[in-house]
Amino acid sequence: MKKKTVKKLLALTLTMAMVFGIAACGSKETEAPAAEAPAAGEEETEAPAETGGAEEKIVIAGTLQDMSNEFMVMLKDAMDEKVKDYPNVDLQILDGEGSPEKQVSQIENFITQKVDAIILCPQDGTQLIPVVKEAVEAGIPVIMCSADIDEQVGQVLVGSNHKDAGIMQAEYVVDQLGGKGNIAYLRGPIGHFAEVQRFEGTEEIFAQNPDIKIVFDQTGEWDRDQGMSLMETWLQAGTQIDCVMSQNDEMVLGALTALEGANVSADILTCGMDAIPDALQAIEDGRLDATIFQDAKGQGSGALETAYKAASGEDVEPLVIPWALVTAENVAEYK
Amino acid sequence: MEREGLNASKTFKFLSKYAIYIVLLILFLAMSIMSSGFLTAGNIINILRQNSFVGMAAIGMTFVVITGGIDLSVGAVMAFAGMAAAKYCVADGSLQLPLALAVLLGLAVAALAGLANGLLVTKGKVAPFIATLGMQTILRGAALLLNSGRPFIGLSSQFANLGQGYILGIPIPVVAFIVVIAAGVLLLHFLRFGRRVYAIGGNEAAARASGIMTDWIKIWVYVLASFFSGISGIILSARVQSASPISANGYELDAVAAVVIGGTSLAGGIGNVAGTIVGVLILGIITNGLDLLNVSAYLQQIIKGAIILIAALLDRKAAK
Repeated sequence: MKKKTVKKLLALTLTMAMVFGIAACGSKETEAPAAEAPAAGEEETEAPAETGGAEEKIVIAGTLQDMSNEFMVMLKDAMDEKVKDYPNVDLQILDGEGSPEKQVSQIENFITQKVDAIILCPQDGTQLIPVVKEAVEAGIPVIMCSADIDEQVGQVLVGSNHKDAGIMQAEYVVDQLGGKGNIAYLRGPIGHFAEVQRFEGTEEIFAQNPDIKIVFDQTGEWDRDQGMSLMETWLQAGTQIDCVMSQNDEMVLGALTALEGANVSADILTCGMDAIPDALQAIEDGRLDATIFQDAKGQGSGALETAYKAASGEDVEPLVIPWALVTAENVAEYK
Repeated sequence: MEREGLNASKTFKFLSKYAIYIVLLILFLAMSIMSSGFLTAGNIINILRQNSFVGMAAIGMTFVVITGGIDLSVGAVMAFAGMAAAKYCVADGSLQLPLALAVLLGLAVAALAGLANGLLVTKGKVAPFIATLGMQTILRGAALLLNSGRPFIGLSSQFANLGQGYILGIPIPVVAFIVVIAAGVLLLHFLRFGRRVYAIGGNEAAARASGIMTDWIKIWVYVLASFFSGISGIILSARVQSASPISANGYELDAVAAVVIGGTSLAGGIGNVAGTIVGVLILGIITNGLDLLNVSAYLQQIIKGAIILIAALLDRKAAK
């Protein structure tokens, strides 16, 4: 029995060594230094205090929703770039792994470590409220990046208002359709803050345009494959569709492939959000009609700058990073 | 009197035995009546195409579950294989390989992941649930590492054709699904390999005692499951012209659900390929029909869950 336990422990240790070994090699091989492997980021957490030292190092720690999300990677890249302007800042950004609970414990750790400022892109609007409050009460400034929590407890938001994106997209669609038409609407995961807020804005505009009707409305889970499958299904229903609106680019690109497969893409207005590189290319190629640009670089570097100022004792204000409508006319500026 | 009773129980037995087929038929008829867009050639092709991806993974999963195991890594294998192949098929990328080579590479890494699963389960004596859960996590991480969390986009038209093209008027994903089904039926129901798979699931100790190299068979079963998932993952990334590290998220559970609805026992030893196909179609038709009817996403989840449970309950009754 004992022998077995020892064997198991040995196996476990070896596996761990192997996994970390691979992760370490991998991150070295990656070309972009900004996009470190998540595993490398985790290693940093274990010994942050030592690197801080007694000198006047400013420690800024953060956690972002989910590093498997391309937009989060862009935010982190922007911060890694911006931190080069502040040689005395020790920046550590962790992966929230899509879990609000995980982010709560990460922030609890930050508070225990007495970091100088916290950057947070929350996975959830409500579950993180208590821990943000705790941090603020401990005297640590909390800078929200890209998304806010549902209650003001002393945090400072640097980001874009998702409701505004929904308004901008809806206004474009109403304008293009001449105030009348049938919409197929692709949502993010139900309950996701961006899903809720983006639709709020859209709903507001549609309420003023009674001839605009949402005839299909479903979640594609931000996923291209699901956007494509839903569109294929909807096309079979025989209902007239004038426009496909999507809460992100991935889903609308999937839907677009389905429309092209059925040879109806020319008759249907398509509009996404986020302005990911693939969507910009599709606009340039004349396939996709529009997307809404969310400024990851502005949000990421803005959040870091604000966090730095707050950590240095300055008063900081919320920073609103505006959205922009991207169509064939101005796509070149965003590529 | 006695005779009637006998007949009734016979009828019940018959009904229970074919419960899932009856559920499928009822669903099919109900959807045809409720939605005018359902029973059209275009929609049927859609259902087949959209479900061929989970379907291929589910065929491999059937083997694993019959041995009494489970493979939670198939979704991650799909994403990783898709990315590994797509990496070398970016249209203006510096690392272009001929299509066949890139696909082979994707299939090879998938098979290797299966080999690792098999070795962990047999030689390492790790419970399949844990071994494949670990593999899932490693492969998702590896897929993220491949392009620093980003998807591969701008894939060559040749590669895209794998997911969007047709062979003899049948979409390629469906053709691949049919090939995988044929391979599954042959291996499980016509070759000695299949009998050994059942023997292991029925009673592994007895199978070993009768001279079956159980470890060897089980390793092959995990390789097979990963290999089929690899095919599915590569074609999936071709279909959407983008290989994303987070694609096929949760597909392993859809595959397990399809296998179990199809009458394969999680305890091992019982099950067949036909049942799994029915399971895949039941899940696929529910989703398709509810989307056509524009049933709200909240309600859809409740209905899907309920139908999975009903099918499983009917089947448990039948097993008695």
